[in-house]
Amino acid sequence: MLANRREVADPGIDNALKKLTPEKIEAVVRKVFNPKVSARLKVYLDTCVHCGLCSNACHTYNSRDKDPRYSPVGKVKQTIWEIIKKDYKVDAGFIKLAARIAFVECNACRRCSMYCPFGIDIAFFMMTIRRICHLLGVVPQYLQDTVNSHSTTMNQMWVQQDDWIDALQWQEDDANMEVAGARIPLEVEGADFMYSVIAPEPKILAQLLANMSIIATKAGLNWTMPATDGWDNSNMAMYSGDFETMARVEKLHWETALRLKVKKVVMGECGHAFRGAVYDGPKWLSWRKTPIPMVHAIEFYYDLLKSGKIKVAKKFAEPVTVQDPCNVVRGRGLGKKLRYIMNALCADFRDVEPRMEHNYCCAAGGGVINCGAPWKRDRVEGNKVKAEQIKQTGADVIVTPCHNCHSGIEDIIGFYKLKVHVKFISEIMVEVMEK
Amino acid sequence: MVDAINWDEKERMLLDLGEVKGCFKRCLEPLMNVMGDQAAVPVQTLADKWTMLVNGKPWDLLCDRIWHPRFSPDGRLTALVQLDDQWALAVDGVLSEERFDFIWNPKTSPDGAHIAALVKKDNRHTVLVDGKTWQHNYISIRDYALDHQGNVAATVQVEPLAEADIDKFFQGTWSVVYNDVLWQNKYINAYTPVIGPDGRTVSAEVRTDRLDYTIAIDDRAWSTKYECVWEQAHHPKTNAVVAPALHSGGWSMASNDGFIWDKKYAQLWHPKFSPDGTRLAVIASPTFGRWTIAVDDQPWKATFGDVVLDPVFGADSRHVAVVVKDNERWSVAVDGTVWGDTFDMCWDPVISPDGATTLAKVEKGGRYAIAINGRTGGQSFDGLWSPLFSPDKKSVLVKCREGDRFYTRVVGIGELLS
Repeated sequence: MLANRREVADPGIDNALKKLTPEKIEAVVRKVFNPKVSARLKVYLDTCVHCGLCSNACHTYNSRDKDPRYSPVGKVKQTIWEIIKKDYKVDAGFIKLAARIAFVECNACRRCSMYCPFGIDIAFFMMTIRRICHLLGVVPQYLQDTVNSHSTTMNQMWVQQDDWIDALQWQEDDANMEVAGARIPLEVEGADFMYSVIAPEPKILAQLLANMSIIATKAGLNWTMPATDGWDNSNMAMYSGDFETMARVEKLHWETALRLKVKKVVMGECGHAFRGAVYDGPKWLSWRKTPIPMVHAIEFYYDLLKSGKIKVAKKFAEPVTVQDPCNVVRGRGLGKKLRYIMNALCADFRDVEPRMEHNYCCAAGGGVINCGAPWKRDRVEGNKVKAEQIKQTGADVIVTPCHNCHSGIEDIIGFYKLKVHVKFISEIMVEVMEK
Repeated sequence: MVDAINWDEKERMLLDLGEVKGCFKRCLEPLMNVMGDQAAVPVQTLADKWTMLVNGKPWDLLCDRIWHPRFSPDGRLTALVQLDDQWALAVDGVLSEERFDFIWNPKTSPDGAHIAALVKKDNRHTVLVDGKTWQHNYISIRDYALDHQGNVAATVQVEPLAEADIDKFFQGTWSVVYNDVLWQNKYINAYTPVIGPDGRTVSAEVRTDRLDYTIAIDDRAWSTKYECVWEQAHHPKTNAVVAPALHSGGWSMASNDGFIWDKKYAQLWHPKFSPDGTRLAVIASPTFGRWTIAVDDQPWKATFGDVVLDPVFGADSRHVAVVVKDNERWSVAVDGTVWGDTFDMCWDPVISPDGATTLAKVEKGGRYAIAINGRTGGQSFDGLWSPLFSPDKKSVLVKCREGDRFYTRVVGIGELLS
């Protein structure tokens, strides 16, 4: 089954497979494939003409010498079609391969959908396989651990409630040293917007919180952050197939914003979190759209620069390129606004090719980086095209307005030995803005 | 509470911040208490210390940091304060005896008689209630409830969990503690503890297996498990527990005996019993993307596209009012009929004791007003706090800010609408 694939030990998959029976697998597969449950799945299956035009879209296919097993259609052939071919009677060996393909070899970046003549959301097939795997208890260990954190703490890194507040207050103090009077206002009912972030910010990248404080203070904004659970908008449960936990996280996030009576939510520099909060979460919860508007950091920074609320003192001098996060550029169309920001902040912006909605995924998104160290090598080997793309720009710095992109590209830089540093927009903005 | 208000005093200015703010480096978000006899502001002194300014007078207590100031329903002012790298709860400027490594999430009982907070000491969590901490402490505490008698129930982590130990996680590492006494069973997850009206029964949402959720009452889980459940409610008279539950793609209301409603919904949450227990109102999505209130399994005909907030019953249990949002505009619906006017924001409605009048704080164009049965008059304010009906239902207690001045006024309903 794993011919030419590196054997990887993952207790989250391997141990769970031992508990499976053919009957259990078939029952779960039939439940998920029931057309009454998933009309969408049936429509996509009936529409696909097996043309293979999606293949050239995929970074893993292009990075692995166009091995057809890594093409989108190849991934569907090895998983979804195999299930149908075998009349839902697949074994544990199949589930092992299907889990690897769906969790590690597809980032659900949806670039392939743009190459499909019918626009089929091919990533949805992979998400369906992930759902089956979740229902069978077959999820990569570190991804499952992240989901366990979500279900317990409502954030993805086991951040305790007191540590969250402490990090905000500590970063408020740091921001104060940079800009007098800088605040991170907590629990201010009726503020114009709630700022929500993902757990790596208080846990390992706390200076990003201070950056927001500096920016919001200089721009004179009326904002707040919650001192309760509900502050983390990230959602790896969406990617593990645990939609019940996904929904619980998103419900609390939106109810926190509603409790604070804010008119919108501004979210930090993260891509998948936007997808979870704006699309997948609300849909499961029966919201056609978010109960109040949400804007991504790209839109937020764009408005601040365009309106003149933030002015640039001296542009960033080093050559800079950018990573278009799939979920907010391909998924939301923020590519032009991102370039407006890059040109406003940077004197030497060097765009990527392909770019905007055609950009390559970082290969960390879609929950893949959360599958952890066992899968790191497969992940970075599966994105050689990204390394080549970055190298061709000649930039010394790459801006990634997404946490997954940030971490994933750091791994690519390390693996392919690129001489490039990774930054968030806020890091450059705070460096160049008038203070 | 309402009885303590002097309804004959037509206007009282509590604070003119303009007169005193020059004495301070910074003044943060002001607040007023329920009875309208106190206005408070967190202030930073010129010596970089923090205190609370109440009706123009600062507390004697000076702190390194002060946050989360809130008035309890009985009028006491609470705040979380830091002194010399230690934290404490301050009530009316008096510190709790113990100091902590951190303190957060303070709560008051409905009448304000009891005050609790979560605290950390030596890297362990416990509960501070009415000035005393529990004897036991825990790896982590997340949700907790405080009732009218000062009882506390909390979800607690009872087993340490090594990084990425997914096997142990699914054996159960969480439980519920009630007044410092721990339930015996461990659950994968436990959420939203609720204390029943008897002050003895405790319920919580629990996850009993990877895919199974249900409600546990006094540590006994319902026999029926569901794909998902949301926060439960106790009947105010019988103490029976109900919860929204998901089964086979549809939501309905469940009890220990299974589903108690016939209809299936696309979503259901936030059940609320009427004060007399005769009616049950729940936020409901009868079809995907539309929201309303279902009362006793009968959804209102009027539905809304954006969101519906928690139902509010009148004291006589006959009327239900709720904040709704449709097409990006906020309003209030009462018994299924939505107000004609829409607003930039609406706060929880208040139904008069006779059920004839509903009012709500609303925001329009950056100004705040009181809408009465959907209408606002010419009066608007820079700041406004939750309005109250007078006992004779003819007047409203208006707690407001105009510029730097904080007022409490008793205003006739007709005057508010003029």
